[in-house]
Amino acid sequence: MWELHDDLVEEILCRVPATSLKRLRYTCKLWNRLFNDRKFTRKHFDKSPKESLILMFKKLGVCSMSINLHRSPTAKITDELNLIFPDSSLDQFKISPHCHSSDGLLLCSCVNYKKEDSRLVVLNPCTGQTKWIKPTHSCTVGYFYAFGSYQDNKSGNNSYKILSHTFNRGQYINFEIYDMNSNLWRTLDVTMDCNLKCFESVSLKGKTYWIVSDEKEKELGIFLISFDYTTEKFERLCLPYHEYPRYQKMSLSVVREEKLSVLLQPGITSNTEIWVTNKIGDETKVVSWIKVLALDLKPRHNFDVDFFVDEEKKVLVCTEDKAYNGQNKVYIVGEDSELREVNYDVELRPYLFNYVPSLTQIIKQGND
Amino acid sequence: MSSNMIMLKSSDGASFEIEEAAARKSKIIANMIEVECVDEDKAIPLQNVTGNILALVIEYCNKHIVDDDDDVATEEASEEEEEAKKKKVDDWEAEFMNSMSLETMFELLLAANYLNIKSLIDLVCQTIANNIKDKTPEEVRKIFSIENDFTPEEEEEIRKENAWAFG
Repeated sequence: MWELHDDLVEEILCRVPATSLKRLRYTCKLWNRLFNDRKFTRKHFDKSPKESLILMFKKLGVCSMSINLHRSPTAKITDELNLIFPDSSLDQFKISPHCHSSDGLLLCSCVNYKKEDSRLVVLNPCTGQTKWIKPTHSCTVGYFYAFGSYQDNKSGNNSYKILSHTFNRGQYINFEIYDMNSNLWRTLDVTMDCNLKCFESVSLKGKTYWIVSDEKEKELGIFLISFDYTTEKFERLCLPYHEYPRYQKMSLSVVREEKLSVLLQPGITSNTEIWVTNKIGDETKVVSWIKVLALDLKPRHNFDVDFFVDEEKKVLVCTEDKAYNGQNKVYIVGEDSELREVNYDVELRPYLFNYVPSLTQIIKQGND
Repeated sequence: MSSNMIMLKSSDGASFEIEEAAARKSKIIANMIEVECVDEDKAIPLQNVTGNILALVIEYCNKHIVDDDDDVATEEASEEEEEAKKKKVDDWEAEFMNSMSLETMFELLLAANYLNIKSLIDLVCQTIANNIKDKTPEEVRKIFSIENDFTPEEEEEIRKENAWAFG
């Protein structure tokens, strides 16, 4: 119908969502080439509408799930990627289900318990690009990994770093960092001067966040600490509460790579609150919290605290530990606190991850 | 606000009167006004834009010049007011684009590009993007007059590359 100048075609294509544009790369050579054009994929990341997928993990794979949040909920696998290992025998490895994402790239760790061997993998499930990384310790049991972006001063491009840390007496220690630009690990001389309230962390916009308290300053209650991948420093940040009650459950999650969300169940009660921050970007100075859901979650439900919240539909989606009753279940709870449950594939781990697909490239350098 | 009126003339000879402030949405026209190429009695000829498309461009510029003035007047507006206003503009833009065929969108995009009206380029590109996102490569080739320049082998190669990925 119309022939447009290449730059106008680019203006249109950078606004097509990532998963749709991936199907359209067959259109012609020019459109296909854009996939490997870093300038274009960056522009696409900035301008395209953000999609939101729910990921769950199998022993060796990442699955995209469709969870219907309506009256009679369903949960089914819509897409599946099994990792292809560069070496070693496949069946010995397991993906650790906790992962981090930044700009649509995922960081997962894979462990072979028998051989005390482990690998980290950064992958883009939308483009299929992967990069395998050897950790500094052959066995990663007891090590935790987080992932974040930073802007490389020299090239102006976004690059990525992996933060490795291990645990001792309520604190994370031995921080090491891997830069995907240089492919090198180095030791970081930083201290996290507070005590972890839960092990797991989340990453968002170049920072990783943990829920912590300070034993020396108990009046501060629980708060957040963040690690900034550009400055490589920690910073403290408020949660919605300052008091120091005992929390039965607390957990962090990320909403659409835009906002942080926290689930808090104070004391021995069934009252559970979910709070969400304002949009956090490079320019955000003040983080403020809004309560989006107040639920009555009976303590008999042994929730694993992996969750995500759908702000528009006002629902909480969380998983339950399989050991509890031998069944894999996703729970969907709306404003009425009524619990709807749905079974899912037995091979899936009870871990939910809100993922935003992108065409972000993984830098490949050297001989990998 | 300047209430100077200027004349624009389309490629097919239709004349339109437009407030200078609205016409300045176009960087090209704004430049012409700056260097005083504009004779008050003469219409500015726009060789690449037909009358029906120019009418749409003017409708867009008129709508947005009002919004820009609002911004100045209510600088202290609360967040809710800002949001309500943004929603009003979004609704208007959705309605404006909704009535258009894909063919008109392409013509409007070329005109917006020629006249250098950035916000209109953004709006039309996003609307076309929404329009093609669920289409097949075959359908999209027709819309953009694109030849499939892949050999079957090359196409197979990408299919392989795409197989290990979502979507």
